[in-house]
Amino acid sequence: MASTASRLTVQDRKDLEKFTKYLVYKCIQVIVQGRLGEKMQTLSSPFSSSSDWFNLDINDIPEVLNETKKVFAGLVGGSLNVGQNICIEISLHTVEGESMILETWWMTLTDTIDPSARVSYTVYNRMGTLLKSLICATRVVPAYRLSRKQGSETFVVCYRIYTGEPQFHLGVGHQKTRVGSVPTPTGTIVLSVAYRTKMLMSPQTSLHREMPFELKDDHFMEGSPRKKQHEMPIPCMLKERHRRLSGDEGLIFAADPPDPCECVEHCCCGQNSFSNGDLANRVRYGAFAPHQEHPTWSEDDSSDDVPFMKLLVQGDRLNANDDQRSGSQPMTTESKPTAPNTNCDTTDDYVMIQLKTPFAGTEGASELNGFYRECQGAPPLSMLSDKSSVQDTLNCITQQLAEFETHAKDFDDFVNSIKVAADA
Amino acid sequence: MNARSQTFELSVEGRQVEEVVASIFHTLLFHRTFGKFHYKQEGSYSIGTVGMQDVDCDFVDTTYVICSEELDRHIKAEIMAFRDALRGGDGNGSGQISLEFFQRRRARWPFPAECIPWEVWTVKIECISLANEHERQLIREKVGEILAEKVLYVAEAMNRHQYTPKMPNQSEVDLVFDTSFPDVQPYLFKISHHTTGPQQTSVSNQMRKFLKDTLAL
Repeated sequence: MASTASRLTVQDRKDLEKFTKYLVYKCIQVIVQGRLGEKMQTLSSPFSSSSDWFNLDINDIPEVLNETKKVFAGLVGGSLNVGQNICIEISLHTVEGESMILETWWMTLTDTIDPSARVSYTVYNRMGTLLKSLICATRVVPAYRLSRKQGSETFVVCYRIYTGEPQFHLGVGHQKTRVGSVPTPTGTIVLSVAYRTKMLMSPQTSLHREMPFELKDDHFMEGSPRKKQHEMPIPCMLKERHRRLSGDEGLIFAADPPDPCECVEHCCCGQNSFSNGDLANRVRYGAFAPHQEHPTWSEDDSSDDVPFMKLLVQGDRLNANDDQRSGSQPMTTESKPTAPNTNCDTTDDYVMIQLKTPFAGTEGASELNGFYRECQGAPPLSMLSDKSSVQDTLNCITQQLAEFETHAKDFDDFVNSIKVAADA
Repeated sequence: MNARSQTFELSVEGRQVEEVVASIFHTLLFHRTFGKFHYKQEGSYSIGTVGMQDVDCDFVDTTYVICSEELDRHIKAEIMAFRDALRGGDGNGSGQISLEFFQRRRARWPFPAECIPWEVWTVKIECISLANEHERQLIREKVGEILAEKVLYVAEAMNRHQYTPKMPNQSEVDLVFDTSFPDVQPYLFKISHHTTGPQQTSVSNQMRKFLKDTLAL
């Protein structure tokens, strides 16, 4: 390989490095833009502009480009070397904090060379072909259909770019396939994808103890509650969380080269790994969804044990909404961690999850949804306005019972007196 | 030279035929299409830009990419003729449609240019009838999955970087590319269909074609 490489002119070598770099940039753009949840449309044009790399009209999203550049700069020598990988991970995050990785795309450079390939023509054209293959492939793997259904009310799709070994936390039965390759005089660029085939969230893998549900692929389902409004892709959640906590509002993307430990934490940790305040402050934006604050349930431990606790939380929040509308002081995050959610429209708070009802007709789920909506839409009870917790309420009931026990004799006497009166 | 030949076989519902064939042919054509060539001087040219547009299918769970509406109209006309022949009772519910890429070679006067295929893709379709909506939903998903496999197979085949005609100089561009489209420039291709029985491949048909063309003078 060294001898072949040495036959390349300085200009060829420079060109090859440049082409490879732009191929990586464009591949990442294609993958991320393919998960925006909207249809792509660019027009063919008889004349190309200088920004149209590989004779393809692939627009750059500046934030994604910056992120890519950052990761690329972290590579040894600032270019893709033999044995190195650049990976793009696409993951799904529900509004309830559950997440799963949907697919991992990775590009690598192998040491198989094609000494006869001309850099400025053959290699350039092959790169164009690889991009076309990638564009087609991104549309047919399962994550595409899911990404078209995302919305800030249900789930969002996030991306993460990293270097190093690709990680496949994709569940059983995941598929791996090679999308394409570009043989060059210095090595072969190979693009592959591994994708999840079982879209099932189970209690074992979720952060919350929830009923397992299947994200069904009703391709382009009409009338779903999602909003397909493209705002801005977002990077993976953990980084976003860090950003939120550090208060750096200006930075939207933050995906450093990966920290494997962090990834493990991200995929496998339970909710105990987070502090309550942490979770309450963690506001996620839809990867590819409207840039609108969505609600996060307050992470009270009791909510997992008490059925319909979330409805009580909802009641609290409705009250908070009323307070704000009536012109009271804006709440601060110190006094009330859920304050950022109070601006949300109450109808946005409800999470529409398509439940699989195995032994019921299709109306079953809608009825259940309807019931939940009614519960949610009911006016707040005044008894819910006080801030006593369930534990307090239970203690209170216990006290009352104890009190009644102590007065049992009085009650017996009263009943006896009635009986005596009746007998008389 | 023998043309490469690939065949896909699918069993689909009648109303899916058009979308199934379109999704495969557009994937192929997307790979086999360049931007428009503009020759500056002999041996030097610039190439236009290829755009892309997602098309959602109505009867199959899939989305495919087209690069030109003009090109789409052209191939849709051919596909619709196939669909009508298939569903119109002309055939026995099965048939095949081929997308053939070819190049022309100039022959000596007075013979016309010879068409030499270099890649042929054939889609064999068997139409099936379904009893109820449940079956319809199943096949809608199943055909979507099969098409995904086919598209990934096409991508793999295109990345083997096998023979394609050499980039021509200005005087020969029409021998390699179809220059009739205003926005894109695909390799010369033709679509043919057959609904009554197995069609002979274009490769084995070469001699007969040559004789036919000669006699057509």
